[in-house]
Amino acid sequence: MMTTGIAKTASPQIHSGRSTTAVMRDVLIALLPLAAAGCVLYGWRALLVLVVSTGSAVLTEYIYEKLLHQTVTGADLSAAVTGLLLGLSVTPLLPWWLAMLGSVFAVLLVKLLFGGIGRNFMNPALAARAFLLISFPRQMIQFMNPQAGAESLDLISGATPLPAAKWSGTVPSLLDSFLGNKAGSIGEVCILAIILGFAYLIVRRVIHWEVPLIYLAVFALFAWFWGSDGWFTGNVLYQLLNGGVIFAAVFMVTDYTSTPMRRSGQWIFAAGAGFLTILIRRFGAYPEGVTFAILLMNLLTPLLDRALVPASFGRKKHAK
Amino acid sequence: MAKHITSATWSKRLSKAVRRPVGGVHPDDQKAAQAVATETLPLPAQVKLAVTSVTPAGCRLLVRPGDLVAVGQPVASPVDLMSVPVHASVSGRVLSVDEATNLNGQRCPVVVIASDGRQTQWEQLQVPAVTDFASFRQAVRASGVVGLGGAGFPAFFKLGSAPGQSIDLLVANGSECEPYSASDARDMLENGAEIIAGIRAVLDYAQIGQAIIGIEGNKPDAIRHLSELAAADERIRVRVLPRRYPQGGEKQLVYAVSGRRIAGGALPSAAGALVMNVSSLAAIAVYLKTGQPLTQRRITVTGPAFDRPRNLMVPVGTPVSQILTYVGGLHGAAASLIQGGPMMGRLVEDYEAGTLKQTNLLLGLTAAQTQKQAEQACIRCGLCAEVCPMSLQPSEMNQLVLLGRYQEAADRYYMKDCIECGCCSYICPAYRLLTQSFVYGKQQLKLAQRQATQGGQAQ
Ligand code: SF4
Ligand code: SF4
Repeated sequence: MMTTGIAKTASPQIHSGRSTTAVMRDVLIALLPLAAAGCVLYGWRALLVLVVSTGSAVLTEYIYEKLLHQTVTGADLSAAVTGLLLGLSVTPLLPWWLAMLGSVFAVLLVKLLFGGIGRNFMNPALAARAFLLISFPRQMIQFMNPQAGAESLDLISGATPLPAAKWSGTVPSLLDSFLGNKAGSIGEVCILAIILGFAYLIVRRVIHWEVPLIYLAVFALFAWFWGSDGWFTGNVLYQLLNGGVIFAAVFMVTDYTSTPMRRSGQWIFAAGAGFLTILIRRFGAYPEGVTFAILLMNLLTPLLDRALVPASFGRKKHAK
Repeated sequence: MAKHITSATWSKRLSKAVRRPVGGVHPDDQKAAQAVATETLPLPAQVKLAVTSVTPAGCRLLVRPGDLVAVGQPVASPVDLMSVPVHASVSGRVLSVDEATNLNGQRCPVVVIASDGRQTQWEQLQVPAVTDFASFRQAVRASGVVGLGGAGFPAFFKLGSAPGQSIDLLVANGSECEPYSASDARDMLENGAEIIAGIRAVLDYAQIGQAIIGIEGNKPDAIRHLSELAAADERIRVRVLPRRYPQGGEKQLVYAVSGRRIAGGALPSAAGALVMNVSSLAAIAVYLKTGQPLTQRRITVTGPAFDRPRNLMVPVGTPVSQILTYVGGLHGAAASLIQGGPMMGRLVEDYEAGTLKQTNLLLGLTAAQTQKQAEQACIRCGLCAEVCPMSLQPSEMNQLVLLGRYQEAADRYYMKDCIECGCCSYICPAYRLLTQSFVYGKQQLKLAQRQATQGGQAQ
């Protein structure tokens, strides 16, 4: 590398003190209420999935870096974030070995092989979820109702609230949807917990507040357009509160690495992802559109970054 | 651009409030030294006057080893169009005039004078006869005053070559946005009258209609004091600036008080503005009144590696070691000394070098403060671009510089517009050496350009 001439002792001499680890720790803290809610609702099965997915993500990175004699970056906590995000976005009934497989896929194939933190063009957790969804559809869409007793498992195969609506079945009330008292993915059901996490990320200035809102607004707009009884009859609230839309808005659409770096690009990204999400939900083969919508937009990220370079202060246009 | 905008529109814009800054960061102020009155450093045994000039060899030496000199006597005078004279800051005997490395790390002739302890004034000092713009400009040049806020750019040169044409606004820079620095704040409290006198002189002779003194909100005493003094002259107003680094950057300051945007590489005059540091203005006023050129200045000595903050009146050229001895030295192993602020200052390598005219702050930082973490991979958080006061894209520029693609960094991402303020490196959670890489990248571009022109000449 041609870094020899860059003076390490040159100014600035001081630093804000906020490191990548601190940022990632903030994301983990923001995810805590979601994990807690998932464990309260679904019991030890949820806990097992979260522990396995997070643990194997961290372990994968550690072993890979050891084998290749690279600096071990585990302290930056980003692998833990990826593993936990994946765990939160799957069903509590996922067999532990699939949770492990998903995490290995996310960290090894999507992140490390593309050069590690900051280099992967797709969101690792989402890519792994897509991978599991395609390869193991039966295990991925088997959900359970929140349990009261320990062993009274109430299996709902292939019928999360979302497909239920698509094929008209029983639908949870709005309050139940808000608190998470329904079948669904571990971290996606309790909207209250997600809002807590969102508030924390805003207070800590980890994400821009408007990005999730743009995603949700565009999503809601088209959800209203394409109602089941014709134009402008959509049940917006129902579409918003069920499935993984709000979870993705806060934690996936705002991912640093796989979304544009500048605000202008982030807005376009969020709007595009919102539109694609409802498009796939309404007209696609999958009941949930979040995963593929965001992955598709991930592919556009380099383009958005390159296209939207603002002129520097005081300049109107590019002066070559 | 500025040409199409008449002064009428400018003044309308001026009536608006202070503009919100673009980018910037909020490091901890650490302005304890602002409350400390200035004391005078005991006369050093010798001074080392660096004869820096704007153009290479822009100054001619006037003394030889063995010569006797008095305070205020020029030891070097300019032969180019931009440089200013250097004056003896002590009376005594010239020991040597050899080339050496100055406090800024540049090679230049250094005049070493052994003090006789008497501080005899040079008998030829006299109050300059100023009647018009040309004689005013000449006087400002003869005073030896440079940008005392740290930039060190000759003050007279900013005045331009003719009065009253394109410049309609004088901005007196009292923002002092670097953490720890307090020398200008003390000057505003202790030399307020001189600052106002300097402003009025510039307004009168350069035929500029109005002046704004920009002061950051963390200096309430200075704001109050200068507002009172300025009340007598309706052309002068004080504006309170937000506490944000780098509010005192020329472009940032002019934008804040007038809304005029100065693009990268352009001078304030392109937007009809003239920016001068408050201490420089005071030094000009002193010369106009007494004929006493710039031979001493206030240096703030502060930071956690010193026992307490101080403001010292110091002859220009005093060896840094002399100051350190006086204040009891740096405390703590591996503490480092910075000249200038923690954002843009420079590590002092040679404690025997003499202070420069523009040395405003000697900052002692502890090893823990200055310890640099190892660089990590960019996480694409975008913070660097958000805090950049020039709206640049540090992350992308850094990648290109590391690949050796300097020209592309300049063409696609305006790397040449970087003012090296340090905000991006300060904020980067991956501890990337962003600012540092742009300093390097710009050097490489200059080098390539020089080689290209030399190659062209050779053919
Ligand atoms: S050092 Fe340059 S790139 Fe970095 S914030 Fe300052 S002006 Fe922007
Ligand atoms: S602040 Fe650092 S980590 Fe964040 S985008 Fe800029 S270079 Fe990358």
